[in-house]
Amino acid sequence: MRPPRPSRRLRHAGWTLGTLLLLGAIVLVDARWGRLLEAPAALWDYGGLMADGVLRNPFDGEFPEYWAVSFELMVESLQMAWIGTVIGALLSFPLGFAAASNIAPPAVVLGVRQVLNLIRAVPELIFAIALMLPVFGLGPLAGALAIGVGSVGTLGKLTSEAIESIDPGPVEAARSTGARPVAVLRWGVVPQVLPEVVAFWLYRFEINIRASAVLGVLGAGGIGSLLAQLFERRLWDRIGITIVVIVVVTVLVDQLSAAIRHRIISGDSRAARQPAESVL
Amino acid sequence: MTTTTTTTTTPRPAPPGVRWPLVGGVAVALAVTVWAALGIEFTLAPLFTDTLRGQRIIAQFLDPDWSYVVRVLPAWVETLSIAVVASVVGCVLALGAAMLASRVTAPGTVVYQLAKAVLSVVRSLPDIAYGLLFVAAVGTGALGGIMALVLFNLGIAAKLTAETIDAVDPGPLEAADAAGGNRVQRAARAVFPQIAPSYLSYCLYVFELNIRASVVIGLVGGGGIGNVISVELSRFRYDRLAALVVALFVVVFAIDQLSRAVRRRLV
Amino acid sequence: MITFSDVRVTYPNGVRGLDGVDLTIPDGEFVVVVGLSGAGKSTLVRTVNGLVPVTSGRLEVDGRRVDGAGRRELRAIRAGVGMIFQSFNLVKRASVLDNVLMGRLHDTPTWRSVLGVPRAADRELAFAALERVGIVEKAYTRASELSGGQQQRVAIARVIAQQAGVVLADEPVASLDPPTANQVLRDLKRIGGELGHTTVVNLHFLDMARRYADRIIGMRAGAVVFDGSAEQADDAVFEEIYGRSLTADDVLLR
Repeated sequence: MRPPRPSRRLRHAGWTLGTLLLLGAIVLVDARWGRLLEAPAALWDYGGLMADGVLRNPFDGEFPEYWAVSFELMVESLQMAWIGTVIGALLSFPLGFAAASNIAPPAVVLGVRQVLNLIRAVPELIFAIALMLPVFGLGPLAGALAIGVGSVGTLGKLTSEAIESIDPGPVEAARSTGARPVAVLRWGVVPQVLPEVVAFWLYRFEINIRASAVLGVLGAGGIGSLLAQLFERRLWDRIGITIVVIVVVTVLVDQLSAAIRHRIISGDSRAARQPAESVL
Repeated sequence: MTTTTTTTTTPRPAPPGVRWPLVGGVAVALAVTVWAALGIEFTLAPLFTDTLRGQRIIAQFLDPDWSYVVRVLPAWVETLSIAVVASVVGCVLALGAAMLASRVTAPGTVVYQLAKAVLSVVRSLPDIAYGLLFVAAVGTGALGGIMALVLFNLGIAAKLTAETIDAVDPGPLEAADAAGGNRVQRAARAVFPQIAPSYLSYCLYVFELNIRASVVIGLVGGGGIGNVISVELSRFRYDRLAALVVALFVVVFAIDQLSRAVRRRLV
Repeated sequence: MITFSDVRVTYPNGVRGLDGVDLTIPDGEFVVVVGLSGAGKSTLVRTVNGLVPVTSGRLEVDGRRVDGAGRRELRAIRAGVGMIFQSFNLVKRASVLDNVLMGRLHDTPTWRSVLGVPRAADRELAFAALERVGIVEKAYTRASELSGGQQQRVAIARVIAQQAGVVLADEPVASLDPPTANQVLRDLKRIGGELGHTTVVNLHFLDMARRYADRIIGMRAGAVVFDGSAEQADDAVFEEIYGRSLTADDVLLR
């Protein structure tokens, strides 16, 4: 006898719900969809203007200045992202140990994990507005601090997960030699996790480059601030130049960072693990 | 098994030379840190000296205007709607882009290389740049925000999905080839079923990101609650900002939890 | 000297690990503990350095009470008791020398151990230990690049560098092939004799127990059911310890 077809009710319900949600969103959002038709033409025009700026002789008239300004501010964004990552790394390293269930007592683990989750749920933007603005004012420093605090959540979580997945043998061996707890961590745990953790830092740096641009628009300086000003004044040639600078520098830094990450992890027998996307 | 008796004659090895990659790497990292710290004029002094200056702001922050959160309800709805539409459109496009950007499914090496390059350029621009661009192109409002987020989502979802496709079990692919299927049939019947759970979970992940990102894009005129935040920020209404920030945190957290619960069931 | 007086161990999940063990192991003896898995061999060995806490009874190592010892006291006891593990428990990513230096941690100031700058004397001890086990040429190699037998010899060097009077070995050859297993045990026995170690080894294989032990202790259900010389431990005795007739699995080499 042929079996009856299994129920697909759940699947159908899922599709229906999804479709309704989408339709509802399309109706509710006041997007003035008609303008979608005009968008290609507008983008084509602006694209042309941007290309003009990019393709103009970069040594002609004001153009060397334009390229230099974009590049300098991109560098400032990189600096902001780097300092933010360093702050995040320094703060998250001890917190990672405190959040690892094979290291810290359960009560501490629970508490620290909640703090890390909380930080992870808050966008950098909010740290910038809520924490940095009142005290530091707007500027690259505030941006770096916001990025730093914002990075602690993910980095702390990843570090604690790396620590929890270590081979417990060396820790037991270190303990059986009568070593002090600090020495047990230093010799039994740190050598096992350090390459992975440093790779996480670099990965976070790549993400923080984008975040620093966002904070820039808010007024934290760097390439984001420039971009916001240029768009306000609709200087399309300079926008084109700035976008090219962002893309080239970001792609280069990404490639470099990825190469270093692979190099760091390759000495390791475990495969080059990229952090799960869900936590980044 | 005589190694134990010959021990005393084996010379001790010379210590390996300095590990230049390691030493150099650490030195460069330190130098970059110093250079960057000087570049952004890093100091923690304001933390001690300027807390007084910030007192007025902090006082306002600690007295949030909760009623305002509800008054801007339409903006919240708009943010959610933007996120839903942008996630759906972005993820549908991402599936196609991922098929082109994976060695397994791409119709040729040239297409594969090209698709990968385009995706890495798409990803290199921050969400806020797309926001500025599309708002300039189609005017302020939700449409620009949606278009910006679609590109943002495309970059992320396509990369993750392409990596998943790279790792599929080649067995069913061979079976599809052996059955005489063409490239599209193979992608639909042999590849997609294998990646479907991961793909859906990436889509949900992108949706989570979109709640956050749509706020960012709202700041530059892309509609939704971000617009409201930007306006209140320029009016220095920290009491309202505080309420909005807390509410935003709650919304982001709730959506994260929801999406995580669904994703856990998917994978 | 190690003395157990009516030592009992109950694990948090209620499992009885040791059930009233009375034993005296004099200095310099090479003792092999045999029994089925779950008989309490591992528990017995691990109580000696406090890795498994004693529930009741009295356990002394060289005059120090292990039961009820505080953290500082426990570290002092562990400094005098070296341990070798079934899975070697080396830091795979670290060099052989760094692994051996772990044996010196009990006598290294914290700042030195955290910064990783060992004293010259400790390096000398580590090198001497590696020479004794015959793999000094691998000192700067990563532990992960060594074979299983070599890794276990690094672990033995770690114990030698620790300069402990008591050496515990918990199934030290269970992960090794027969020739390597024999060599590791031979090394352990030889070095124990040279340095005057009191050695307690858990073994699963009867023939090896007979070949290397000065004294064999048989365990069953957490209690000592046999205690005598290797000659006294014939097949009948083993059948009693194992509670069943012997099979080919119980010996390593016929």
